[in-house]
Amino acid sequence: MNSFGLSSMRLLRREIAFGNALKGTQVGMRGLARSFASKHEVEVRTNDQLVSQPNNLAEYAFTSIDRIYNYIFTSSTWPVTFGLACCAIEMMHMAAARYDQDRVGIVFRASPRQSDVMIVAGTLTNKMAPGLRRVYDQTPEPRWVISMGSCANGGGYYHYSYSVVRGCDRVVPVDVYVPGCPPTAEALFYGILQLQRKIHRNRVTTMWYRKY
Amino acid sequence: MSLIRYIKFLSKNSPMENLRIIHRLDDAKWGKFVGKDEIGNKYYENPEERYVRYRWYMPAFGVLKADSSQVPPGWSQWLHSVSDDTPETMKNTTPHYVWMPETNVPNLTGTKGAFKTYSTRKPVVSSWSPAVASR
Repeated sequence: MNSFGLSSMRLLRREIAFGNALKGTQVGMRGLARSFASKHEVEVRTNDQLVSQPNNLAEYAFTSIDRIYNYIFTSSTWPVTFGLACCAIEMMHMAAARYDQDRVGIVFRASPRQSDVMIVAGTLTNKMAPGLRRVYDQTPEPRWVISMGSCANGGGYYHYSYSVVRGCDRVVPVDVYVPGCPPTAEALFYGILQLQRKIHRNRVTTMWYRKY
Repeated sequence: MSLIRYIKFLSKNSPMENLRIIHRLDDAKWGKFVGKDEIGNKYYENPEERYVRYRWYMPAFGVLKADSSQVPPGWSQWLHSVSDDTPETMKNTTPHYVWMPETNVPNLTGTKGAFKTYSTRKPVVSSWSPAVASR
């Protein structure tokens, strides 16, 4: 590639060697990162720009790795069943023969330890909130959350109830909100496809490279 | 019988068409061409197919990541069997209001055009910048 790409690769290598020498000293690494940033002005770009026009050799390599990583993840996003109320019926419809989620590689798992996605389907009550958080914490990373229906999005019909959490995003970080009361199975499926689009925008290794 | 259906449909298209259909739709499909929308999505129908799968669309050639929000509303209602009319047959009867967009706007989530909330009101709370008092 261009000379800048090669020089940045060289810098990266030098940085790694230097980092090994300073192993355990957080301050040294941080100071190095700062000096690296000041030497080469880094232009701030969005994820999409980063992928469409990587501007050096290392970024080319890392975006390719990211693409493979994302491809692997999108074809097997296994949700944990977290059916809380009537939305769960629609969630079951999505799994059944008519919409057949299995054809895009989505299989419901009963254990959070085996799943990547949590579909919060229904009203989240105060009593259930610690349970929800525990299930979220038990899910291995990377993990995603789909909030399904108006109750999970923001309390919905029970917004002013004394016993309901006003949206599951008060307890766990949410990636995709599916509106509706309840949303149709089609809508939930579209939400899952939106989540796949979001996973495709993941730049794990590129961000790691840009950070150091 | 799925295999018979597969062979039947595959034999009716040319090999190149079959390749493209299987790549884009993950299925063997054959049907009557009904129409085309403004971005180039092609709509097909085959009444012999199973219920809810007898109408489908082929995403436009240049569109790599097809999204169902790219289907314009008129075609969407035809696709979901709300009506047998297509936008082409309804061209003269559909009223056109000012608030109706000229072209279909797809879901812009995750792109630069995504919606961001903003307030048109003056803020009711005033912020303060903390300063360390000199001692």
